[in-house]
Amino acid sequence: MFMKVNRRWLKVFLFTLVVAFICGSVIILTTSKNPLTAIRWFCLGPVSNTYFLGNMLSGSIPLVLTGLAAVIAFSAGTFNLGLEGQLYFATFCATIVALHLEGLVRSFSIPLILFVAFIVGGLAAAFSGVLKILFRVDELLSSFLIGQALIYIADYFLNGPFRDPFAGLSASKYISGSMMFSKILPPSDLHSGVFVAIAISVVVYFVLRFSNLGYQIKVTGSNHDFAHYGGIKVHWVWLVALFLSGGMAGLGGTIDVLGVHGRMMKGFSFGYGFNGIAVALIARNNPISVIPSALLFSYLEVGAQVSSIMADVTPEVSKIVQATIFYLITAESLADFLIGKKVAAHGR
Amino acid sequence: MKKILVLMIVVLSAVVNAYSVALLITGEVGGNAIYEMMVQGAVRASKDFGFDVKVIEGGYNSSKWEPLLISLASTKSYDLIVTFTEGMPKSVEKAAKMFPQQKFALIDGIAPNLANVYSLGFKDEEMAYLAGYFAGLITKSNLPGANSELKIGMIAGDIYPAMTEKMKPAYEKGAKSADEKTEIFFSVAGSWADPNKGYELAQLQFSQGVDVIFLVAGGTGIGAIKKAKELGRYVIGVDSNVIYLAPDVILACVLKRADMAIYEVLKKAYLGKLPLGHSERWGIREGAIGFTFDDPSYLQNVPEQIREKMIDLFEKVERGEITPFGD
Amino acid sequence: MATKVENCVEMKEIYKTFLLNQTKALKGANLCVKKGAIHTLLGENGAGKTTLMRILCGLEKMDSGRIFVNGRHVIIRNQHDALNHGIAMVHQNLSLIEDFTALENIVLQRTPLKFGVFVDLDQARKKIERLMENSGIFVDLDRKVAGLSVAERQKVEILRVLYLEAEILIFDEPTSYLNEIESDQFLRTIRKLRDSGKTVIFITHNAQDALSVSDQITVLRNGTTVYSSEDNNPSLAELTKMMAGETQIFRRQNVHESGKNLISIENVVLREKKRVIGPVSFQIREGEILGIAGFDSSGAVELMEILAGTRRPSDGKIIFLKKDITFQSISERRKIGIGYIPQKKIQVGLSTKLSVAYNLIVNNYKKFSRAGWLNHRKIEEWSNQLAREYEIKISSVWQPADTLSGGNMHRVVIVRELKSKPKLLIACNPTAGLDMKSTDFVHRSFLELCNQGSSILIYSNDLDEILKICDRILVMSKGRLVREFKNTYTLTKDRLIEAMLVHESKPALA
Repeated sequence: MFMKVNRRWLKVFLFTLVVAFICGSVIILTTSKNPLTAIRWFCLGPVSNTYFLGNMLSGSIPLVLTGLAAVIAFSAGTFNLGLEGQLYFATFCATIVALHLEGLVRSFSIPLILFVAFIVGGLAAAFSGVLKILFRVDELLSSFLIGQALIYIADYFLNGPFRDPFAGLSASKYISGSMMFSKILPPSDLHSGVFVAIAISVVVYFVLRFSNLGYQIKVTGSNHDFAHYGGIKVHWVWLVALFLSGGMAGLGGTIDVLGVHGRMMKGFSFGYGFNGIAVALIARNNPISVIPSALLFSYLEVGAQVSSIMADVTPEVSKIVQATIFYLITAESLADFLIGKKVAAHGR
Repeated sequence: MKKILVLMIVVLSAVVNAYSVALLITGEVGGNAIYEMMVQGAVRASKDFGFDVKVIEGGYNSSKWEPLLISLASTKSYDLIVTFTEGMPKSVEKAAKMFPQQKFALIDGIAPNLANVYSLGFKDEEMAYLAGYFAGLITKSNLPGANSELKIGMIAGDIYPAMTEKMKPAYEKGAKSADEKTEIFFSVAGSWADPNKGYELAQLQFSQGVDVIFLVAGGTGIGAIKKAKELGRYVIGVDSNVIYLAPDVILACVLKRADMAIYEVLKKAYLGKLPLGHSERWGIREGAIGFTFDDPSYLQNVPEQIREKMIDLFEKVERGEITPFGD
Repeated sequence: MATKVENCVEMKEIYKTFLLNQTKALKGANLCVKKGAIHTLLGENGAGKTTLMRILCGLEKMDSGRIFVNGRHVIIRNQHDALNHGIAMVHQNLSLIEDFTALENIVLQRTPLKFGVFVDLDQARKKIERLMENSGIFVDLDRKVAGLSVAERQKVEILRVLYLEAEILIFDEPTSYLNEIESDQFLRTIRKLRDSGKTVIFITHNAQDALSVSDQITVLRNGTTVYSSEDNNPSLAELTKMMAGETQIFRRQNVHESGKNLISIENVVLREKKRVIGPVSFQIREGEILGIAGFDSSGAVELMEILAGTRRPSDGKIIFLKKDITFQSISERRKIGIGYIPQKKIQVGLSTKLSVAYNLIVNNYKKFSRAGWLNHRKIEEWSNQLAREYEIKISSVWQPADTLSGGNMHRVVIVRELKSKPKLLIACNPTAGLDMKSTDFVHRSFLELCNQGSSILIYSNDLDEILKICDRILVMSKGRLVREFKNTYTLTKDRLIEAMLVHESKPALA
């Protein structure tokens, strides 16, 4: 049953991928003076050398985590639109903690920093859950608005007391290298945080699929009247799911900082949250499928970057290509959700 | 900008395997006077000497600049990668260490000395010194917009080392050399693109008796110009000649000749004469910093004795008789 | 095309296999419907009746087969195609918008426009009034659907498809959710429809209804047509036999006389905006089956919800085994042994997207968990065992519940509640929508549960059901308990209906 659904998903995924790249190529074809080069770099750039390959892989790490964050919230039938802000604020707090942890061993400091990020992100998201439960505030709106506010708050501190005066831009001081994830494929950005991301997706997969909590989340998400009727504490499940969702987002940003940037920078995570929602949509809410769909997103990002470096594709054009591909894929996913919902991966 | 791109493409497709240069713009070209000048200068050099220039805009999200720089280096397709501003030294250092074969040039910022890096800074303090002296003369003068108090202002878009350690002190020093009793008001907007903030800060300074403000604030300065116009006070521009925007209000501009600077850098690089492993700072003497002496509005609005004093000072700095910090 | 009696719909050799669970729903079913007739499609749950009709309406694609409408071979790809041929289904789950008036609901799908922009309700109203005149089906067009009874809503649904100019109306188990009087009323309604020249296809598992109303009967069993009548009318026994393949008649002989008090309801009141239910007081003894008879508008459903814990009473007390449970949540009530079969079995009693197994364990999943992890092998074993034992037709316990037929979905709900061995089982219309065999089975299970000392509280629209298995019957009307009948043997349906009606100043019919 599971295998069947997954193979079907894979087929759909690959098909849209091909269509999407064809559409992207057509757009480049109409705008580029030298379209063949541009298309070649767009399609093959990310795998043309180990540097871009590594960047593609490392770029997918935060998307895997925000994707998981969206998956968890969706599974419980809640919508966390505040991923962007939860991630940013949690990462900011975690970075500040990291800056005060000078001298600790990596095996101790990294889990601690990640823990802080998880808790802060989780609480930020859970607050929307509390509003939903106590005052029936739609969490879709509240999480988004609170998230936006959190971004401004973090930016304020990043520009003020926590700004590195020698940075020349809005950024914190550098975290000591001893607290960073080690590089895997230098000079690319790929770092050992990738294993953390994979491990977390596996854990989320198992929890959602095999645990009591996963059961409660799925029942609540599929029909909360039924869950309530069956004796599941629906409010509690919502709260936990939002907390985990925000926590995942926080981890996503923090792993990125500990692996790639080495410091908190203004706007470093722009788009991670919303792309995470798209990733979850493409992955059809399956925590394992989140990995390939995050890779796809990262592939597009790097492809666009490479083709803007190597050919005459302006950033604007590459954004349009990305958007087209994204719409195609999500529209397909949505259509599939609506038409083929009986076959959707809810079976178990 | 479109024209530039088209030019770039023509150049790009015409020459194969030629010397090629990438400009990584930390921001966007359109609407940024300095970058527009930089790109003009680079294109002129590329045409004069026949090499490739590719402009890559890094956008306003500063966290994307470093990955872009490293990506550019990793392609190994460019003989020289040029990037800009004080935000990039660390990134250039990182990229240069990763790719020791790749040549880098940092303009308008000083990177650590590495064998494959050339840095060109501007003597921003000379600009500020000129502006300070001019402001000091204006506030002392009996121009219609100048009051009796000897108070001048400065609005910065943001603070960074070069601002706090060079520009601000040099501005103060310039003003004091016009008159020891001059008071200086300094404000930071926290943004390079917030005209409302500029408007508020200008109002604040003018209300305290300031009659001329030196604007080093990008788009934020637009608001200050507006306020000065409302109150009939003065401002001094920076980087490029923007007097035409408000000839009655913008009395003068101190100029950073970025087009000339990048032209020289690219020329030297093409000819293999770029002193890699070194950093230089160019100022008035090198012709990288100027003043709007020839502007018709300037000639019309600024009294002759002030203009003469400015030329005098400018020449002294050029000859090295005066340096902003006296060393 | 000059046949004497025109067959307006013919379906020939229809095959349908559901891809996901490889269930062969239809194995060469045939159907031949005369124009202007009431044609009953009779069969047990899962016999393929609904699937066949969904194919006719374009809601489902067939694997093979041919469909003729008015003698012409047609291809029906979607609902729209079906409607073009004048075929429409009157839905049983009543998908009306509560906040809209009857009129607005009727015109929803094809809104008349003035100047292409403004909704022209006056024009629509005239058309609908004409339709009501012709069909003899009347509703108050300006009332909000929220305030209409189930029977009235059904009329709105009928008017809605008539408004869409349907000539052939399909009803899927329309009497399941209606009480005796409403059912009668409904059968009269479809006769009126026939008399106004429409063709009616009526899906049911109730052979009695089929006999009383139809001009033609087709019996489906296991996806094939086993009988289709032309003129000769078969007997009830014959029909029942054809449906089931075997007949089981069951009569209960069991009365619980004494027993300790299990639950006391003391002056429970529910105040809502427009009405007040209660105060209501009664007790249930251990081992007793207590029935509540009443219309849906009597407040009985709300009372059941209050006892089950999905609704909070405004006032009063509920004492269960000497403990005050008035403010306990449904999960706490489930823990102390209260089971609940809700009125809305599909919407509330199930999560249709989840697997059958997951639906079966919602009230006891913790039994299958160790250290927070569920043992799926055990869940599968247990669910398989239940499915076998209670004859739920599935190919895998992991198939989503909405791939089951309506009857099988009901079974899942009932089986789950029975299997948790509650001390008190609260059941709303437990056998609505089930065929005779299944109903019989449910009743037997109820009795077995009571013989083990549990009590059951049943609210049912089916008075026969209440008369058949309850030890005591309370009649509820306008939010109050108005009569109590102790001895079910001396009681007849008429007396019950009389009691229900006495206190209804304005009965739901007429």
